[in-house]
Amino acid sequence: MDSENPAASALTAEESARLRKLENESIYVLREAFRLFPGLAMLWSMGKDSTLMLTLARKAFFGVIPFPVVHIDTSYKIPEMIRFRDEKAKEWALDLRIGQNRAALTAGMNPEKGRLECCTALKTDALKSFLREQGFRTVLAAIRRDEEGSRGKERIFSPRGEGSTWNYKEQPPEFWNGYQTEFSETTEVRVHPLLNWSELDVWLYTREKNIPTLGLYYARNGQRYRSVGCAPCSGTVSSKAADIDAVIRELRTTRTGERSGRAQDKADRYAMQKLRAKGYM
Amino acid sequence: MSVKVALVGNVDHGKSTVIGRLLADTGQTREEREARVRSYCESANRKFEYAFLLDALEEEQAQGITIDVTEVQWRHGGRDFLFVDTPGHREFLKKMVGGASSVDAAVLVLDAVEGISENFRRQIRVLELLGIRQRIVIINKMDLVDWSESTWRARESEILACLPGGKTQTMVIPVAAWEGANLLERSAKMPWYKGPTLGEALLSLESAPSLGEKPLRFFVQDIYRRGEKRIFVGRVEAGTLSAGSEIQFEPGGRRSRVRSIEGETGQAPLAHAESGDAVGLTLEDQLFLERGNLGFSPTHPPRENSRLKADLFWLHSEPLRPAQKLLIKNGTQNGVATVEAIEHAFDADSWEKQEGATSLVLFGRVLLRFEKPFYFDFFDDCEPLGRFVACADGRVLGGGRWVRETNLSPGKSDVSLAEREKRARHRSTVLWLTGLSGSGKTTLARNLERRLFDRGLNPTVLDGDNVRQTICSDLGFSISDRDENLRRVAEMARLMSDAGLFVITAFISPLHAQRARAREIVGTERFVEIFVDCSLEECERRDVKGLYRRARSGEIPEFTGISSAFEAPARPDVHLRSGELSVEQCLDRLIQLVDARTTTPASSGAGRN
Repeated sequence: MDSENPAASALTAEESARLRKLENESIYVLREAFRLFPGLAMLWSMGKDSTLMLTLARKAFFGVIPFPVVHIDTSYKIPEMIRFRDEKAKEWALDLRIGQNRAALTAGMNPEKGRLECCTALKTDALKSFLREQGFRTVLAAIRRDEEGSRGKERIFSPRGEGSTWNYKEQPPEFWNGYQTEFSETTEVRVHPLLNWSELDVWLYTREKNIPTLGLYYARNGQRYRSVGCAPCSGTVSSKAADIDAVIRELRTTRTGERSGRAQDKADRYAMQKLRAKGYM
Repeated sequence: MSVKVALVGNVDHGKSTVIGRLLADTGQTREEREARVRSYCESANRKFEYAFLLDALEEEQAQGITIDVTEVQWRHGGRDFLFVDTPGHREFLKKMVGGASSVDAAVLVLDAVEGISENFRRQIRVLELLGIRQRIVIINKMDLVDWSESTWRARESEILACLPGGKTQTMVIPVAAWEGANLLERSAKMPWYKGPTLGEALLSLESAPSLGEKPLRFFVQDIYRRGEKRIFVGRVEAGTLSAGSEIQFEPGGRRSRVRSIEGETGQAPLAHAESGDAVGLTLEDQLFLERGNLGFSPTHPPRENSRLKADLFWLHSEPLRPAQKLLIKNGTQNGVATVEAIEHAFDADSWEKQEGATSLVLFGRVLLRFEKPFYFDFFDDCEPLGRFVACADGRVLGGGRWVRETNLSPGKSDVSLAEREKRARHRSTVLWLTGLSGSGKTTLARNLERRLFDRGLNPTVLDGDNVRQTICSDLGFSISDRDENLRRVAEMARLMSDAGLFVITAFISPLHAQRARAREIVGTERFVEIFVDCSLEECERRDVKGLYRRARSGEIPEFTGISSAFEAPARPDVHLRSGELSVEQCLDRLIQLVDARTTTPASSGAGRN
């Protein structure tokens, strides 16, 4: 059936128009961020979204990414991700900076101490102190609205308050491509160039542009990762999708959520909102 | 392309429920999110809340309201929709305005039990002032009124009475969103309802028209050096761009040609770029350009001015006042402007227009004086340059559109428009009939005039016969004279309407721009565009005045439909297929429209059923 169905291998006119619009919006936002925010860095987790963002940045800046790329290493990442990171960083000549909360790790922080606590210490706190230490005031993060409820409420240019907090009740309006880009010297800003992409859009574009992806996304022994993070908190979903075409076919019909394998989301009903209010991506 | 639709209505009338239910019914929710909402609702001993599929914040679920705008994608019938769920609570009206400012259409949700409130009227007014003309109304919670047809009819007429254009341009659908009745499936409980389901109504919406036909507008965003190359990056706001295109930049008036549109590294340059594309250009000449410079084709320049009038919406909690400084942003162009005057503002409670108001709370018209000339287009000529975002203290606080300056400020009359409308017993109205020669405009206009007169109104008709021999007798039939003819007609229609007459005009008015200008002159609130749509074949077959025959023989040059274009209205207020309908049927539709704009019954019902 799949070979009969053009949608399985080709883009529909609607999809192709949508991807073009999304791609151009993202490139415009990346260039705005670079032009208007000194102290800019991009967060890269090696996942499909941030790798797509990195690819768009290479396109936006004609091959050379003119700012550092940051990876927050919790030390719990899956080894394949670290191999992928080091290989691509070299191939794409990235100015890669790796941050880690060594103090917390030395003190023995791990998921057993509580998933929200672990995430806050090894990701959020590590990120905040690394940004401060390196003098980055603005970070590009590849979050998307459709991933999770509280991200649906985000802005493309999203200011943070004291201690990177997210005041989700008082966000600047965004319309007509007129973003709020003037902030005080001390305001930390998260920029979200992929906010309007859906999971399917990301995969369709990844296939169109032949963007490299982690092997973890493809089924082995009936299991694959929909979303990758730290080994202890990233679960797999059952799936037969062993290549990108199969992943796209699966996404066109599945009703399982992208972050269903993520343990930290389930620690509390508003876990993500709470993590994010404190400065999580 | 996708359609962006705002859901608007009072708190608790069911906006989020409508979206949640549409997502659930089409399998576009995530299982665990649905499961989580289900287990929460069960533990809290309440029925399943579809709204929680959207209202994700803790405070939103605890209080059962939407606090911030949510954007949700939905696919249906092969089309993409982007729903903007706006807060309905009065406290969040400004968030609703921000969320609804860039949509193509609105779905208004009204609770069948509660009916129309002041807050709801305010939201309707917001849509009107934002210029959102595609509307669907749903009367929700029909289950709570026992699926009663008479309740639906009562709500329908209440709501149509406060919507401009009334029934002719608004679908009113009875639904029970929580049960899914009439959302996607026709409900057996309301067999009396024959109209479209919400799903069908949504599929009839039009997405924003393409900007490809508009003149080229390209703002310089940044300049990158790559080896020997200087690449000017920016977005094509409107029009198209090709290698070799001549391009001029303002300020400065420098001209060059596009040498290349840069492709991805290591790949060939692109031949073309379209509106919306973020591109990088190299030019044939070494020009010194900066961020904010505007590129365009020398044959279609933008406008520039230091004093500009704008219709503005203001989102700040502090009202806007004269002498305030604003940063006006459009694309990458920034301009510093001072509010020289507030021409009028809409009172936030009564929504009455207040001339010479001293502050602007939410909507109004202002005169801005820029420190340097600002480059722009009028909205009807080129949307992206016709609007702007207003900032102060680094914050986005409002937005607006430029308004065509009517130079002579008409002498103020002591008699207010409201007083005139009260005596005339109708809202000021200009019915602007447009269509091919022979489509039936004059016949309809004259018949309608008779009917309205018989109902006790004071109608009048402007058409080629009475205008060309009088006030426009100095004009010929060149393109520019035809254009001037229509400008004068619009001005006359405005004056006659000011005087309390119900004005009907019958002119081909073939171009979008001509009709847009007429709307601008007459005023959006009173201008009703009626497309008298009859096929060219049929008009030519009728050929009442023998004009088509003469045009075909070449005797009449540039004859609309034959040797000159007729740009059919994309979104007329009323679409009359006069080739298929009888004159009586057309008149009935027009009478419906008149009824919606008449304040008290104009007659004892003669001629009505």
